[in-house]
Amino acid sequence: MLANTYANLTIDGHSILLAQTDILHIELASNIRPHTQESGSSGLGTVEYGHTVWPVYTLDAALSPLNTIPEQRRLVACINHTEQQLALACDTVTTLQVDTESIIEELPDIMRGQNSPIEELLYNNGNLHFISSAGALMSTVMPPEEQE
Amino acid sequence: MTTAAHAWVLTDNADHRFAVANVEMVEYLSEATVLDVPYSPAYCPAVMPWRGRLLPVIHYHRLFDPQATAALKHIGVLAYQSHPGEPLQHVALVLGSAPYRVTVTDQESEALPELYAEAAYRPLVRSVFCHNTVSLPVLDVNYLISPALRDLLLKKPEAAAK
Repeated sequence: MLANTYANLTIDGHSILLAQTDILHIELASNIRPHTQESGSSGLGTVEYGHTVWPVYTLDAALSPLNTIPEQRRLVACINHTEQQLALACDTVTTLQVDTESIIEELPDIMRGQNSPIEELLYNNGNLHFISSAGALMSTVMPPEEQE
Repeated sequence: MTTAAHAWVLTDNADHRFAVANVEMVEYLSEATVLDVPYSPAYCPAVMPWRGRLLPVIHYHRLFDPQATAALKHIGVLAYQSHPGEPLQHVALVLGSAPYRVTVTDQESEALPELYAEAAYRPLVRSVFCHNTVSLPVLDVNYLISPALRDLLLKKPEAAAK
Protein backbone atom coordinates (compact mmCIF):
# COMPACT_ATOMS: atom_id res chain seq x y z
CA MET A 1 0.00 0.00 0.00
CA LEU A 2 1.41 3.39 -0.95
CA ALA A 3 -0.40 6.63 -0.27
CA ASN A 4 0.63 10.27 -0.16
CA THR A 5 -1.48 11.03 2.86
CA TYR A 6 -2.52 8.64 5.60
CA ALA A 7 -5.09 8.80 8.35
CA ASN A 8 -3.03 8.90 11.54
CA LEU A 9 -4.68 7.24 14.55
CA THR A 10 -2.72 7.60 17.79
CA ILE A 11 -3.00 5.21 20.71
CA ASP A 12 -0.85 5.69 23.81
CA GLY A 13 1.83 7.45 21.80
CA HIS A 14 1.84 4.93 18.95
CA SER A 15 0.85 6.09 15.51
CA ILE A 16 -1.21 3.73 13.36
CA LEU A 17 -1.57 4.77 9.73
CA LEU A 18 -4.44 3.74 7.51
CA ALA A 19 -5.31 4.75 3.96
CA GLN A 20 -7.59 7.76 4.23
CA THR A 21 -10.26 5.89 2.28
CA ASP A 22 -10.34 3.27 5.06
CA ILE A 23 -11.87 5.81 7.49
CA LEU A 24 -15.58 6.22 6.83
CA HIS A 25 -16.51 8.34 9.83
CA ILE A 26 -15.15 9.74 13.08
CA GLU A 27 -17.34 9.74 16.16
CA LEU A 28 -16.83 11.17 19.65
CA ALA A 29 -16.04 8.49 22.20
CA SER A 30 -18.68 10.04 24.45
CA ASN A 31 -21.24 8.63 21.98
CA ILE A 32 -20.17 5.03 22.61
CA ARG A 33 -23.09 2.97 23.88
CA PRO A 34 -22.51 0.10 26.28
CA HIS A 35 -22.17 -3.30 24.69
CA THR A 36 -25.28 -5.48 24.89
CA GLN A 37 -25.91 -9.12 24.06
CA GLU A 38 -27.96 -7.96 21.07
CA SER A 39 -24.88 -6.27 19.61
CA GLY A 40 -23.75 -9.79 18.71
CA SER A 41 -20.01 -9.15 18.78
CA SER A 42 -17.07 -8.96 21.14
CA GLY A 43 -16.92 -5.15 20.91
CA LEU A 44 -16.44 -3.05 24.04
CA GLY A 45 -19.37 -0.84 23.06
CA THR A 46 -21.05 0.39 19.92
CA VAL A 47 -21.49 3.57 17.91
CA GLU A 48 -24.07 4.25 15.22
CA TYR A 49 -23.27 5.59 11.79
CA GLY A 50 -25.17 5.28 8.53
CA HIS A 51 -28.03 3.36 10.15
CA THR A 52 -25.53 0.69 11.16
CA VAL A 53 -24.22 -0.38 14.55
CA TRP A 54 -20.42 -0.46 14.74
CA PRO A 55 -18.68 -2.53 17.44
CA VAL A 56 -15.91 -0.49 19.09
CA TYR A 57 -12.52 -1.94 20.01
CA THR A 58 -9.31 -0.41 21.26
CA LEU A 59 -5.68 -1.32 21.84
CA ASP A 60 -3.17 -0.77 24.64
CA ALA A 61 0.36 0.65 24.52
CA ALA A 62 1.63 -2.69 23.16
CA LEU A 63 -1.10 -2.57 20.47
CA SER A 64 -2.84 -5.55 22.07
CA PRO A 65 -6.65 -5.58 22.42
CA LEU A 66 -8.03 -4.08 25.64
CA ASN A 67 -11.10 -5.17 27.61
CA THR A 68 -12.12 -1.63 28.56
CA ILE A 69 -11.86 1.72 26.84
CA PRO A 70 -9.48 4.12 28.65
CA GLU A 71 -10.61 7.72 29.16
CA GLN A 72 -7.94 9.13 26.87
CA ARG A 73 -9.55 7.41 23.87
CA ARG A 74 -11.60 10.45 22.84
CA LEU A 75 -12.43 9.53 19.25
CA VAL A 76 -13.76 6.50 17.43
CA ALA A 77 -12.83 5.80 13.81
CA CYS A 78 -15.33 3.73 11.82
CA ILE A 79 -13.16 1.67 9.50
CA ASN A 80 -14.13 0.43 6.07
CA HIS A 81 -13.75 -3.35 5.95
CA THR A 82 -15.85 -5.16 3.30
CA GLU A 83 -19.27 -5.79 4.86
CA GLN A 84 -18.12 -6.17 8.45
CA GLN A 85 -18.11 -3.22 10.82
CA LEU A 86 -15.06 -2.29 12.85
CA ALA A 87 -14.57 0.86 14.90
CA LEU A 88 -11.37 1.69 16.76
CA ALA A 89 -11.27 4.02 19.75
CA CYS A 90 -8.11 6.15 19.67
CA ASP A 91 -6.62 9.22 21.33
CA THR A 92 -6.36 11.46 18.27
CA VAL A 93 -7.09 11.25 14.55
CA THR A 94 -5.10 13.45 12.19
CA THR A 95 -3.51 13.06 8.77
CA LEU A 96 0.12 12.42 7.93
CA GLN A 97 1.64 13.69 4.72
CA VAL A 98 4.39 11.48 3.29
CA ASP A 99 7.36 13.55 2.09
CA THR A 100 10.56 12.80 0.25
CA GLU A 101 12.42 12.33 3.55
CA SER A 102 10.06 9.56 4.67
CA ILE A 103 11.33 5.99 4.77
CA ILE A 104 8.71 3.31 4.11
CA GLU A 105 9.70 -0.32 4.59
CA GLU A 106 7.87 -3.60 4.81
CA LEU A 107 8.02 -5.01 8.31
CA PRO A 108 11.02 -7.41 8.31
CA ASP A 109 9.87 -11.04 8.29
CA ILE A 110 11.44 -11.84 11.66
CA MET A 111 9.45 -9.00 13.27
CA ARG A 112 6.06 -10.24 12.12
CA GLY A 113 4.11 -11.39 15.18
CA GLN A 114 0.88 -13.34 15.11
CA ASN A 115 -2.17 -11.03 14.88
CA SER A 116 0.05 -7.96 14.59
CA PRO A 117 -1.75 -4.98 13.09
CA ILE A 118 1.54 -3.74 11.61
CA GLU A 119 2.16 -4.36 7.92
CA GLU A 120 4.73 -1.70 7.07
CA LEU A 121 6.86 0.89 8.85
CA LEU A 122 7.08 4.58 8.03
CA TYR A 123 9.85 6.74 9.48
CA ASN A 124 9.23 10.44 9.20
CA ASN A 125 10.78 13.41 11.06
CA GLY A 126 12.30 11.21 13.74
CA ASN A 127 9.07 9.34 14.42
CA LEU A 128 8.14 5.76 13.63
CA HIS A 129 4.61 5.08 12.37
CA PHE A 130 2.95 1.72 11.87
CA ILE A 131 1.12 1.26 8.57
CA SER A 132 -1.85 -1.02 9.00
CA SER A 133 -5.02 -1.96 7.14
CA ALA A 134 -8.62 -2.70 7.99
CA GLY A 135 -7.98 -6.42 7.58
CA ALA A 136 -4.90 -6.42 9.82
CA LEU A 137 -6.70 -4.44 12.53
CA MET A 138 -9.62 -6.84 12.30
CA SER A 139 -7.38 -9.83 12.92
CA THR A 140 -5.83 -8.05 15.92
CA VAL A 141 -8.99 -7.00 17.74
CA MET A 142 -11.61 -9.52 16.69
CA PRO A 143 -11.74 -13.18 17.71
CA PRO A 144 -11.31 -15.46 14.64
CA GLU A 145 -14.86 -16.85 14.96
CA GLU A 146 -16.29 -13.35 14.43
CA GLN A 147 -14.21 -12.53 11.37
CA GLU A 148 -15.99 -12.94 8.04
CA MET B 1 49.36 -25.20 2.61
CA THR B 2 47.54 -22.98 5.09
CA THR B 3 45.37 -20.07 3.91
CA ALA B 4 44.45 -17.05 6.04
CA ALA B 5 41.42 -14.79 6.10
CA HIS B 6 40.24 -11.92 8.24
CA ALA B 7 37.22 -11.89 10.53
CA TRP B 8 35.66 -9.42 12.93
CA VAL B 9 35.21 -10.53 16.53
CA LEU B 10 32.03 -9.17 18.12
CA THR B 11 30.93 -9.23 21.75
CA ASP B 12 27.30 -9.03 22.84
CA ASN B 13 25.82 -7.54 26.02
CA ALA B 14 26.29 -10.82 27.89
CA ASP B 15 29.96 -11.13 26.88
CA HIS B 16 29.35 -13.87 24.31
CA ARG B 17 32.02 -13.59 21.65
CA PHE B 18 31.51 -14.60 18.04
CA ALA B 19 32.87 -13.66 14.63
CA VAL B 20 31.61 -12.58 11.24
CA ALA B 21 33.44 -12.60 7.94
CA ASN B 22 35.47 -9.50 7.14
CA VAL B 23 33.11 -8.46 4.33
CA GLU B 24 30.00 -8.82 6.49
CA MET B 25 30.95 -6.07 8.96
CA VAL B 26 29.87 -2.80 7.33
CA GLU B 27 29.86 -0.19 10.08
CA TYR B 28 30.36 0.25 13.80
CA LEU B 29 28.30 2.88 15.65
CA SER B 30 28.98 3.93 19.22
CA GLU B 31 25.45 5.31 19.50
CA ALA B 32 22.23 5.00 17.55
CA THR B 33 18.53 5.78 17.62
CA VAL B 34 16.38 2.68 17.87
CA LEU B 35 12.60 2.58 17.77
CA ASP B 36 10.49 -0.19 19.34
CA VAL B 37 8.07 -2.21 17.21
CA PRO B 38 5.25 -4.03 19.05
CA TYR B 39 4.67 -7.75 18.40
CA SER B 40 8.28 -8.36 17.43
CA PRO B 41 10.37 -11.07 19.14
CA ALA B 42 12.34 -10.25 22.30
CA TYR B 43 15.67 -10.60 20.49
CA CYS B 44 14.61 -8.22 17.70
CA PRO B 45 12.35 -5.62 19.32
CA ALA B 46 13.22 -2.49 17.35
CA VAL B 47 14.37 -0.91 14.11
CA MET B 48 17.08 1.64 13.45
CA PRO B 49 17.17 4.30 10.70
CA TRP B 50 20.38 3.87 8.72
CA ARG B 51 21.31 5.34 5.32
CA GLY B 52 17.68 5.79 4.26
CA ARG B 53 16.64 2.33 5.43
CA LEU B 54 15.09 0.86 8.57
CA LEU B 55 17.20 -2.02 9.88
CA PRO B 56 15.99 -4.67 12.32
CA VAL B 57 17.97 -4.39 15.57
CA ILE B 58 19.06 -7.69 17.09
CA HIS B 59 20.02 -8.16 20.74
CA TYR B 60 22.16 -11.28 20.30
CA HIS B 61 22.25 -12.18 24.00
CA ARG B 62 18.45 -12.31 24.08
CA LEU B 63 18.51 -15.24 21.68
CA PHE B 64 19.66 -17.24 24.68
CA ASP B 65 17.87 -15.28 27.45
CA PRO B 66 14.78 -13.43 26.17
CA GLN B 67 14.26 -11.74 29.52
CA ALA B 68 17.74 -10.19 29.69
CA THR B 69 17.88 -6.41 29.58
CA ALA B 70 17.79 -4.77 26.18
CA ALA B 71 20.31 -2.03 26.99
CA LEU B 72 21.83 -0.39 23.95
CA LYS B 73 25.61 0.07 24.03
CA HIS B 74 27.08 -0.13 20.56
CA ILE B 75 25.77 -1.20 17.16
CA GLY B 76 27.40 -3.21 14.41
CA VAL B 77 25.78 -3.08 10.99
CA LEU B 78 26.15 -6.39 9.16
CA ALA B 79 25.54 -7.15 5.50
CA TYR B 80 24.10 -10.39 4.19
CA GLN B 81 22.62 -11.86 1.02
CA SER B 82 19.51 -14.02 1.07
CA HIS B 83 20.76 -15.80 -2.05
CA PRO B 84 23.88 -15.42 -4.20
CA GLY B 85 23.48 -12.60 -6.73
CA GLU B 86 20.73 -10.84 -4.78
CA PRO B 87 21.23 -7.29 -3.44
CA LEU B 88 22.91 -6.90 -0.07
CA GLN B 89 20.63 -6.50 2.93
CA HIS B 90 21.63 -5.17 6.33
CA VAL B 91 20.87 -5.83 9.97
CA ALA B 92 21.93 -3.99 13.13
CA LEU B 93 23.43 -6.01 15.96
CA VAL B 94 23.69 -4.64 19.51
CA LEU B 95 27.25 -5.04 20.79
CA GLY B 96 28.70 -4.83 24.29
CA SER B 97 32.00 -3.38 23.09
CA ALA B 98 33.84 -2.29 19.97
CA PRO B 99 34.60 -5.07 17.46
CA TYR B 100 38.16 -6.02 16.52
CA ARG B 101 39.66 -7.76 13.51
CA VAL B 102 41.64 -11.00 13.65
CA THR B 103 43.38 -13.30 11.18
CA VAL B 104 42.02 -16.80 10.86
CA THR B 105 43.76 -19.78 9.25
CA ASP B 106 41.98 -22.83 7.90
CA GLN B 107 43.77 -25.09 10.36
CA GLU B 108 41.98 -23.56 13.33
CA SER B 109 38.79 -25.63 13.29
CA GLU B 110 37.33 -26.20 16.74
CA ALA B 111 34.37 -28.04 18.31
CA LEU B 112 30.98 -26.31 18.59
CA PRO B 113 30.73 -24.24 21.82
CA GLU B 114 28.17 -25.56 24.32
CA LEU B 115 26.04 -22.38 24.03
CA TYR B 116 25.01 -23.54 20.56
CA ALA B 117 24.26 -27.18 21.46
CA GLU B 118 20.47 -26.82 21.13
CA ALA B 119 19.04 -27.62 17.70
CA ALA B 120 17.66 -24.09 17.22
CA TYR B 121 21.09 -22.49 17.75
CA ARG B 122 23.31 -24.96 15.87
CA PRO B 123 22.73 -23.44 12.41
CA LEU B 124 23.86 -20.04 13.76
CA VAL B 125 27.41 -21.35 13.58
CA ARG B 126 29.04 -21.73 10.16
CA SER B 127 32.39 -22.80 11.59
CA VAL B 128 34.51 -22.40 14.71
CA PHE B 129 38.09 -21.18 15.12
CA CYS B 130 40.36 -20.55 18.08
CA HIS B 131 41.73 -17.12 18.93
CA ASN B 132 43.83 -16.51 22.04
CA THR B 133 42.66 -19.88 23.46
CA VAL B 134 38.98 -18.89 23.04
CA SER B 135 36.72 -20.84 20.64
CA LEU B 136 34.94 -18.36 18.39
CA PRO B 137 31.92 -19.38 16.33
CA VAL B 138 31.55 -17.74 12.92
CA LEU B 139 27.98 -16.49 12.64
CA ASP B 140 25.60 -17.37 9.82
CA VAL B 141 23.92 -13.96 9.45
CA ASN B 142 21.29 -15.36 7.07
CA TYR B 143 20.08 -17.77 9.74
CA LEU B 144 20.23 -15.06 12.43
CA ILE B 145 17.76 -12.98 10.45
CA SER B 146 15.59 -15.89 9.32
CA PRO B 147 11.97 -16.54 10.31
CA ALA B 148 13.07 -20.16 10.88
CA LEU B 149 15.14 -19.15 13.92
CA ARG B 150 12.34 -16.89 15.19
CA ASP B 151 9.79 -19.70 14.91
CA LEU B 152 12.02 -22.19 16.72
CA LEU B 153 12.70 -19.71 19.54
CA LEU B 154 9.02 -18.83 19.91
CA LYS B 155 8.34 -22.48 20.70
CA LYS B 156 10.60 -22.22 23.74
CA PRO B 157 8.55 -21.55 26.91
CA GLU B 158 10.72 -18.66 28.11
CA ALA B 159 10.12 -16.81 24.83
CA ALA B 160 6.72 -15.60 26.01
CA ALA B 161 8.18 -12.73 28.05
CA LYS B 162 9.65 -9.75 26.29
